[in-house]
Amino acid sequence: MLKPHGRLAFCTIFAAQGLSAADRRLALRLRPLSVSWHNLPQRELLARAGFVHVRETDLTAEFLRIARLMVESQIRHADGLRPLKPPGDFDRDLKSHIQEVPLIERGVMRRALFVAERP
Amino acid sequence: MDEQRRKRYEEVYRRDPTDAERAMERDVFGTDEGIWSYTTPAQADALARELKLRPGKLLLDVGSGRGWPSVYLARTTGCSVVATDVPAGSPHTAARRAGGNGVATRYASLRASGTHLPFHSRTFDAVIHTDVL
Repeated sequence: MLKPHGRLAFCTIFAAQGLSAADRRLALRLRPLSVSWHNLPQRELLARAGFVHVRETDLTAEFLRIARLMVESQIRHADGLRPLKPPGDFDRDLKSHIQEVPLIERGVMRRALFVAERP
Repeated sequence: MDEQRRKRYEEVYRRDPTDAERAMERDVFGTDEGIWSYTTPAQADALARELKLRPGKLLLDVGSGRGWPSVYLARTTGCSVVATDVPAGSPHTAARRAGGNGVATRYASLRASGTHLPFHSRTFDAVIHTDVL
């Protein structure tokens, strides 16, 4: 759908390459879509799809900052947020978000901006 | 997208943010843009620069949700946007936010899956998706 020289840009959360089996299982449990989508680096996928000038900007530090703030804010506003989800879902999701923070700290979960150009 | 996940997003995207969600956005991002992802305003600005968005450019947002950041990008760069998402309610809510931001004439939204997009080849100057995959 892109015109020639059109650009694709996306931010995505993904499991780091080379994880131990235990870390991969943990990441898969917390973010199944992000982890199970594929086993290849995004840059390689883009290149295989024919994109050129593929660039990756790591956003993990900001991802960690936002993830921590989201947990703090969800706890602060729990009374207003809990009724917006089916019973049990808010507390289950909050628990997952709390468990996710140390995974980001350890570099298991990453977030990056990818930019690529159609030839 | 599985059925349970789709239904859950439909419920969220069908309505505007509640007071609690707005308070959370102010806590986390310091904004009231309707942010529903990890993409910060600074990162949205980086997307605009990387994609060289400006008036006359046509941007496709795949997985647009409530319209963050595509409504913001239309407003701040002057580009035109086509926004797509799967959950029912998403296109209507995104369009409503576009209207509220004064960009309705440059913002179209429709229900479509990223795997079956109803567009001709060589249509868009740029494509984004943020935390969709």
